[in-house]
Amino acid sequence: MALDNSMNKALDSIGPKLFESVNLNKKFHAWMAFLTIMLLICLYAYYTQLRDGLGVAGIRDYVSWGMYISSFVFFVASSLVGMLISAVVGLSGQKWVIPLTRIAEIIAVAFAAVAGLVIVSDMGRPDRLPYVFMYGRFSSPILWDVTVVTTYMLISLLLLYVTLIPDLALGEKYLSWRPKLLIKAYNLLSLGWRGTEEEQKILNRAIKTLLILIVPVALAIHTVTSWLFAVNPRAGWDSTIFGPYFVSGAFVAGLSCLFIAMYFFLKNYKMEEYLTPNVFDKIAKLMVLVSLVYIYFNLNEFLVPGYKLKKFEAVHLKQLFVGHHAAMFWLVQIGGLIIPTMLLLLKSIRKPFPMLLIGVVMLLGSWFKRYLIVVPVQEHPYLPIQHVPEMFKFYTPTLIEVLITIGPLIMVLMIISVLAKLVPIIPVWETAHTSIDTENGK
Amino acid sequence: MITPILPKPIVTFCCTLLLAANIAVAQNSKEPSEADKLRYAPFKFTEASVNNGKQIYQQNCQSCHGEPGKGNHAKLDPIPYDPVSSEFQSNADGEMFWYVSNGKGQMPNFSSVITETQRWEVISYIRTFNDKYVQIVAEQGKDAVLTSSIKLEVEMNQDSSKIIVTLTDTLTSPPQPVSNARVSLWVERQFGKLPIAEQQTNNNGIALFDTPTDIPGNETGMLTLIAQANSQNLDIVQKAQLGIGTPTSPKNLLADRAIWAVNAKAPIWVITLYLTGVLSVLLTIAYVMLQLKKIRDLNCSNKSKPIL
Ligand code: HEC
Repeated sequence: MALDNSMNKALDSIGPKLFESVNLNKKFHAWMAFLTIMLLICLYAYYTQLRDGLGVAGIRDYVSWGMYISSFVFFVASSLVGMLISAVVGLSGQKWVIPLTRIAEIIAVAFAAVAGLVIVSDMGRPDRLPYVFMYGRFSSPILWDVTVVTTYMLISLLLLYVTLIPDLALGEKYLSWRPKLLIKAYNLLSLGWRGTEEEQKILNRAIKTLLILIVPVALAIHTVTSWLFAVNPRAGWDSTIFGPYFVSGAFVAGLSCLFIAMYFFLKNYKMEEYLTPNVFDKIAKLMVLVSLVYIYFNLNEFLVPGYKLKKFEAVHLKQLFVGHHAAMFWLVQIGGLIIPTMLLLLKSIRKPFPMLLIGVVMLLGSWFKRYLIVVPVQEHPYLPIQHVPEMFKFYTPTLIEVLITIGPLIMVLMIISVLAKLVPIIPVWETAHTSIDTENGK
Repeated sequence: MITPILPKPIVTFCCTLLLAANIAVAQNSKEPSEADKLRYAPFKFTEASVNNGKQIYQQNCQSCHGEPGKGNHAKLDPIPYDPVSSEFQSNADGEMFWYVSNGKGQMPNFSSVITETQRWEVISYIRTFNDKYVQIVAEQGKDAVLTSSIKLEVEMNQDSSKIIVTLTDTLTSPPQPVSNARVSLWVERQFGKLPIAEQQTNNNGIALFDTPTDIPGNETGMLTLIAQANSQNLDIVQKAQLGIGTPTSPKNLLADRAIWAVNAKAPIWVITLYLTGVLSVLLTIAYVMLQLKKIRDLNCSNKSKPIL
């Protein structure tokens, strides 16, 4: 068959290069050793929390959701990038996005997998985690959240795997120089894929189904996460637009992760051929789009209550606009969102290195934005705060708490690093297939 | 065309400040009258009253006023003085009694928390930190001294407009009315007692109270009234069931399906939405898995060399 020949040729021209990175080199070992040491330090911090109780963190009776929950929201947010890239952009037939799909899915799997652990770090009695399943209530957003986060993580993992199947079958050919065990695993997981038309039809059906399914589920995970707050009548959380506000913010957080990852893979994996200036340019424009949507929701979220200044809302907003949290608030809103978005409008900024910097800034902005959504509201309960020590009134994170918060981030880095070493990070089969399609003028 | 005088952010900012200032606590602003200040304890302070007072102080006052003499009071504005301080001690007994009964600034009133006797006892304890203090006891014969033989009765007059509380000493025969005793009237609630009023008994041993008309009772409008006469170490209490409340039939909040109820009583729409959502996602995942199985089956039956 002519197609098979040209397909083989196409594969041979990119396969060896793309499979080169499936290789644990010295750099990787050093990097993992570094991460492991850092993680052990964080785990020790968590051990002290297990031993002495949640009192080692700065959370108290009034502000009982601190960095942990802020970080949880951030994790869930970042994991949405998988859905954005593969489903929203991918399904709309944008071919330029193909080299980014696997990276985005790996990021999604890593963040979704660890998000659950972040919640556990906020529990004084983690041994009671099973109670959520044993006694969970259908009416409780907590149960919904546990349900959708695990489901999303499952679907992301499945999507990552299903799109990998043809590449796994290529392992035998391009990874002959690697340990037998790896090739065995590749073969087993490839389900004996041979690339017949029939197989492709079935696989495409599976992928399409997953891509459609992941859209509502991804929207659900962040909408439900926002409902953890928005079903409360508390000033600052009592908002009807929290769902879309969170989802649009999630796209910003996820894309900034992607910016950073893209730069890393471009430089370390030498992917100039695939992560082309055009891809950077396009993804930067996508960021501008989602940022503008997010800015629009911010406007609604703050301008409308700021105009009315209802009694309790006013106390909260004053703390954000001119009070205790004002510096962080304006830095995050202007420095972490508006300015980077405006910069991305310039062609000279839509280049790998400037985008790395912007990615870092927006990622930090995203994290602190979650902090601003979670913490300040709790400092203004409807019943006045009385008869409590001063340290109960304002939240100050402790060092142990900071370490415990960093721990899951390290785990995310570890998962991404390992996955990026186990499989080719650019979809090989799909890239070859698309190049033939374009040649044939399809 | 109307041009705004100030840019919106400045207006917003000013409004924020104004509102915040407004919220800054409206509080008790009443002060004791001259007569209130001249009120004295109906009994002589003793070691026993001081000991009781100390306990009451530690339970109810220490969290704000601090441990006496240590100056570790709560950081409120104005500050709750240390009871040892001259500012605190310069209050007359009657003044202190009034503040504890009615509250002052950010201090809540304790009228429904501790009895009158207990209020005097805590004052007797506070006075131990003042060497120069000499107690004046309320004029004998003005306030009655109670004994355990005294009986308290609660009833209503003909048209139910008044509640009559009668104090009689049963030791004498015929029983004698007890005059000049202070009687307080309360209504029993789910959590604690609701104070209604305080009265002095007249020469016939009778204290007359206006019947409250707006207090929710049970289904038939019954209320449990508590009449209480206090003196040192002795509180005489009498409860009575009177049909003077507004009939209310409290609804059991767990009777019907509700969002806060356990799964068995959760609203149908919540259960339906949740289960349909989870089920349809699971079914879709199963469908995908089925496709993967198809691919594997295809290749198991056909062991020919890969086309790749
Ligand atoms: C919620 C905290 C709080 C508690 C509890 C409290 N106080 Fe006070 N108290 C205050 C404050 C604040 C003031 C000063 C109020 C002002 O000047 O506006 C005050 C004032 C007083 C004064 C008047 C002193 C003066 O000249 O200013 C007396 C008497 C007093 N308290 C007695 C008591 C006693 C007795 C108790 C316990 C039964 C008690 N307080 C419990 C907060 C408290």
